[in-house]
Amino acid sequence: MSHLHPERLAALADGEPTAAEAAHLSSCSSCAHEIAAHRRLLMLAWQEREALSAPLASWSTLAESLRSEGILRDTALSGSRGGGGHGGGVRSPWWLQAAAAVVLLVGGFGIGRLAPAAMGGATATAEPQSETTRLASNADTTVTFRSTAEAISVLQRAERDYRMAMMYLAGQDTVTPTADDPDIYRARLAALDEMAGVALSAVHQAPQDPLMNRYYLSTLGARDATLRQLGERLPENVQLVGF
Amino acid sequence: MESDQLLIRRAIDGDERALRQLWSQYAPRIDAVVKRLAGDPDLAADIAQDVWIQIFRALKTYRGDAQFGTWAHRIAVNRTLNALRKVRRLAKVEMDIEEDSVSVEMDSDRAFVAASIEEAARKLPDGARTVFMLHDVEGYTHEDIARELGITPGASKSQLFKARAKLRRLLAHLVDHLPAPSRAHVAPAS
Repeated sequence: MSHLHPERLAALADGEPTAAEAAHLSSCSSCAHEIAAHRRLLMLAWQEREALSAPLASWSTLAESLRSEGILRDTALSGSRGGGGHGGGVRSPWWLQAAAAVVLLVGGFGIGRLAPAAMGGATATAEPQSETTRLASNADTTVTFRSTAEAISVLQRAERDYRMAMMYLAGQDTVTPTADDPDIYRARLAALDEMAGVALSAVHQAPQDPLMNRYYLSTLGARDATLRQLGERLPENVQLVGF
Repeated sequence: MESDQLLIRRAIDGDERALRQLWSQYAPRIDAVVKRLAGDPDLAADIAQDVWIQIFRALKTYRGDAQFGTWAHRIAVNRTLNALRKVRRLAKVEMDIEEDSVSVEMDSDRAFVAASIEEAARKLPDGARTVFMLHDVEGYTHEDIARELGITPGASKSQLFKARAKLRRLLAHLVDHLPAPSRAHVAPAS
């Protein structure tokens, strides 16, 4: 029997030889070698199945298409558009999204304990000690979340509640200057600038520290917001050009 | 880690975070399939976008009978073949093997092996390359391939064996220096 055809040898990489072929292969090292080579090739090909690829499209491009198809809907949590490819650009990391809420909550608990003392509202000043205790107790409670999205959602809900509470407390406040007083915002800006400077120094010392990055970025965000609020409350003949 | 089922439910509702998480999780594998089948990187990028739109569009029909990755893989293959058919008129699978060679040097690096196979496969006619990729890489049976490509199982086998024979020559320097695997280590026959 002559050597097996190359395509037949290829077929025998994962196929069964006939009796005649088996007899030939038992005595022909050349054909046996070829089949072994085909099996090696097959093994390499099979291993390719597990190969991974960098994403071929960017999320921002895909997201735009999904929006236009009505597959993706815009939500409050959807975040920003634009940006780049796999894993970056379109949305800030979760810890950046949560940053504002974190700062407001951390600061809020502190302010929340102090503010009532300066205010005249009976409701707000009731049992300050027990309120502090309750907050501390809550902080000790173990809360589990099923996902990052759920944790962020809870955080944002808490932020919203916090703001509403602050608005209520501000409404009860008859001591501090009114919210229309530009000096409030000037004082806040000065404080935020100091905070931003301290946070920036910390970021320079530990650029990878997500906590300090959060505080720094949130402070900048709060500064911008305050700047806008100040601009809205200045007399019409005064224009805010910087602070 | 959020389960796929929960993620999919949210994705069906159009939640961007869920859609993106599914994409992030499965794009490396799905896009690799598209890239292998398409061959050309630019073409693959165009097709990948279309594949993902199709996957997300079809999410409502996902019943969870198979793993999401397996289900999405099927869509990716199907959509890629459709796209290739349009581009290359793949239905007309013919062999026209050029007798050139691929310059490969010995290297045990996995990436090099993958690149060598990819480069060699590009030397195959489109139809034969697709059959090879579907059978020997993706694990499709000849019956599946026949259905996908609109050819007979016999034609699929013929294309495959010609493709293997060609690749064996092109990759001689690679396969002749590897240890021989046993039958159990190669892809299941069909």
